[in-house]
Amino acid sequence: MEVAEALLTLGVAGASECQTLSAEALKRAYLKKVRVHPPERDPQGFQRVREAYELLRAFEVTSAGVRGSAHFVPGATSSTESEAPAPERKTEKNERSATAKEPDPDSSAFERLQQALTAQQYEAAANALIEIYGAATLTSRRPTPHVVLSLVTRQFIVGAQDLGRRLFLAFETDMALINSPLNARLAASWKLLAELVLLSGQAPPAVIRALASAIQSGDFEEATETLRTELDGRGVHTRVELESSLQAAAPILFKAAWPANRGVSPKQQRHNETWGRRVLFLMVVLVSSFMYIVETSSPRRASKPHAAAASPSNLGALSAEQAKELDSVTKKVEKVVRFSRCNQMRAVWKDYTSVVRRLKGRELVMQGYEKLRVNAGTTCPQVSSELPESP
Amino acid sequence: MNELYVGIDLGTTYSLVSVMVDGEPRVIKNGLGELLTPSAVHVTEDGTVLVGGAARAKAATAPNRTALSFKRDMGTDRRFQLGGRSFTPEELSALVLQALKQDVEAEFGRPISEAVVTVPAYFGELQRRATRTACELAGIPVERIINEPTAAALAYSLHEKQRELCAAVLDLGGGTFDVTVLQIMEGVVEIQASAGDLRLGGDDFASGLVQRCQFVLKRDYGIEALTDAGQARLGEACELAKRRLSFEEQTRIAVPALPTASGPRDVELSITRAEFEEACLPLLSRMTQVVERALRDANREPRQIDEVLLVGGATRMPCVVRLSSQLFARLPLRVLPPDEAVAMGAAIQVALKKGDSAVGDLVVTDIAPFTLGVASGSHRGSALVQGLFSPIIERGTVLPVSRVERFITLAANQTRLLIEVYQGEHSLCAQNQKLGQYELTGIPAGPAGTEAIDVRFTYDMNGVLDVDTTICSTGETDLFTVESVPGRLSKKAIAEARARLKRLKFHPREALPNVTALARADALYVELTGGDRAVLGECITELRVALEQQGASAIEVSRERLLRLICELDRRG
Repeated sequence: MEVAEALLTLGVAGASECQTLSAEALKRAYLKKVRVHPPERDPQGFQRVREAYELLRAFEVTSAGVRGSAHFVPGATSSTESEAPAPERKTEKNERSATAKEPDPDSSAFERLQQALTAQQYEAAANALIEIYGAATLTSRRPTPHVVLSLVTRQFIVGAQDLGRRLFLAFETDMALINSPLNARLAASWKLLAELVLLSGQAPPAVIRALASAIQSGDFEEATETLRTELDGRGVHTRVELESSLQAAAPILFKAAWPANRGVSPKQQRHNETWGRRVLFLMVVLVSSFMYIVETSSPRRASKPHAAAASPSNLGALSAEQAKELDSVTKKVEKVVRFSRCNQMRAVWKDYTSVVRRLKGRELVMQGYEKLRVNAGTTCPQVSSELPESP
Repeated sequence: MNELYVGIDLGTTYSLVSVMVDGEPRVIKNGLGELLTPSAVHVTEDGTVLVGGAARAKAATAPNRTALSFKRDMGTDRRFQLGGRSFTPEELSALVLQALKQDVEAEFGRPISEAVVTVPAYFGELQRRATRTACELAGIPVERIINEPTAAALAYSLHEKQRELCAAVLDLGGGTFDVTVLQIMEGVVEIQASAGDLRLGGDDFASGLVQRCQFVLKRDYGIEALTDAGQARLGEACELAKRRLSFEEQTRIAVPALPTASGPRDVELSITRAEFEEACLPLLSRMTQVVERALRDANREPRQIDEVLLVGGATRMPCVVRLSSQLFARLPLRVLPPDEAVAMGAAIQVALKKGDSAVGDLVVTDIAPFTLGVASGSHRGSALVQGLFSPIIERGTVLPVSRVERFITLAANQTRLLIEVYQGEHSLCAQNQKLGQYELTGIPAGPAGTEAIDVRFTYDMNGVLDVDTTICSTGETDLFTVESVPGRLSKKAIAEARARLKRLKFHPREALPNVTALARADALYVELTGGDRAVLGECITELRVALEQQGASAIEVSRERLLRLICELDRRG
């Protein structure tokens, strides 16, 4: 488990809180989650929560000293800040404002930011911030990162994806300029937002909105529901496509909103309960998350989302028309499978293969074909011999 | 509701059974109308088995036919010889459990569907298994064994869950001392540390008193040695004197016709509370050590403890209360009846496990009370050191838990690996308790240190330890559950032991009150002299005659009279 995932698990990923999470607040967040996943009834869920807590608690000890840097001065007291109760933070802020004496080159943008935050006009605040970053030099003062990150999250929650993306990129560029280290929790929060930004070019807006709220609130129920609606409304091909693009662009968010066992039938879930399976699953998760850590452990890595977002989705590579056509034939086959109308299978399968044949060679299309073929063959064994392995 | 879920406190001196009734844990009375059933077994001259109060009373008159405090020997090979029969500690415990089972089933008129049994936190895996075996022998379905202090904490938390606090539970029972530090926060009861001493309890305080008496007997009476029967009589007298000393500053211990090595002697001595407490100083300092260990494990200072709870009958002793006040600088709480708290907690735990709505929103996290690990070796220069203990799950780890450690081959072309599972805190395996072993084969041959094996321990809330291994290079996995330990009875052995217990002759349950009253009277008779003795003797005869004639009402009348008399004489000391 990595820090970003742990933050999500305990529901403390909200950027406004990440800098000021005291040991007690962390413990309370953990215990709240324990109530949702009591060891007695949900041992696996409990172990996940416990692991997240132990990880974050370790950071509490090791990185307590690494907070912000001299570059950051407290921006306006935002409404988001007043939500997080942490007495010790006030003293810390006072110290910092005492040390920040440097005159501000563009105080008007700062004032506007302050006013906008006080008036809870987040759009104006974001614009003011972008302006500040645009004019910033190495030595000019900056608002603290958690104000920025929480503003980015807010933009995504209200659906202002473009503004959110722009703000995030401005912040990232600025971080590269001042080359200042973020503390572990802030960095993890940043990584989650990077996932969200990357995803915003590919996933449906509803999903993005739900995920952003989940980051803020720590409650993934709604995000899961949105994903389920989104995924269930699709044919196997676009479903596979969305799933893989989510997985590739936002592995941590996807895992939090769509745990591997969520799509599994209750029967199979019971089967999974056996220890051997459970452990095997854990190992796979461990190994894969380890690989992910290795892949993304360099902080620079997180600053690439714009590059990736700009390139066309290598997974889809279908035009809108092609996708629509594929979806409609796929849905027909799925309907037949769902109601076991095996006498109609031959006809719909013929239509289906003719479309797939045209798109042959695309890996994802073939994945979907294979899935559907197996499903159809199991439902209607009498025609299974007529469903070739390759269209 | 047809299910019957019970919590059982199988104690060193007393055992209790408790059931949730209307959302509150209630301790069930036994056939004698008492809440506490002494953990005692006696085999009479004619081979009949007595359990509970009657057996406890026989301890003074026939010590060699009576077994007491057998909980201390759980998980060992010790055998008790009672009237020509041999019993294991598990079997004796099973007899007590059986008595509790009969009491609770008679009360509710249906069989026990599931029970939670408590053990001292410092009981190791072997003793826990022995406890399970005892339950199996008694025919009580038990899935969960919990720690006594956890149970006491639960009983306490049920009422205090709205409050946020950090508490220490000091549980001084008949044979064991346990300390648990817990925190209640956000409605979650978090057990933070448990420490204990398996051989420190109320019985040891009585022994301290016995030693003191022996010293006085030698000094004042010139008595060098006592016979076994003499030891038992003196022990009985001291146990009673110990209880009196909780309320009185000074007490008299009189034993008429005490059997010594040189013939019976009438002895009488007086002992003050200060003398008693001086004799118990070493015990108190051992208690301090345990408290300190628990606080250290919980990473807390004594002043960070908001409440101190005293549990267990032996905490009635003023010196224990004083010790706790000194250590924590605050007066201890005694909101729960000290004898019953553990049994009540066990009933809450079983309700919790079954999702009973009465305790629905109580959430508890418990910890591993000891470290679990495997044996490993290491090269130190040219020497190969083996038998080192490599912990995998440290004590204090929150349960359930799954932890993995990686080990590498020690020798060239090593294709097998013996995985020995140990429990304990010592750095050498030999000093720790072995729980089981398993031989892993199929490791690819190669130079030493090239093959890695992941050993994963998964320890669940029921105390089941799963060990699974993965050979990293081949990805081959293997799983085994630690249960085949030497000493653990096989299914067949359990069936045999059960059959053997079935064959034992028991007093009919309805006859128990009479038998117990007579046994108590007999025990008291030995202690008395003069007029009291004659009066008691008459009452005993009256009950015996009534029993002969089998007149139900006459039996009841004379039994009640006898019991009243016993009570009165006891009070007089």
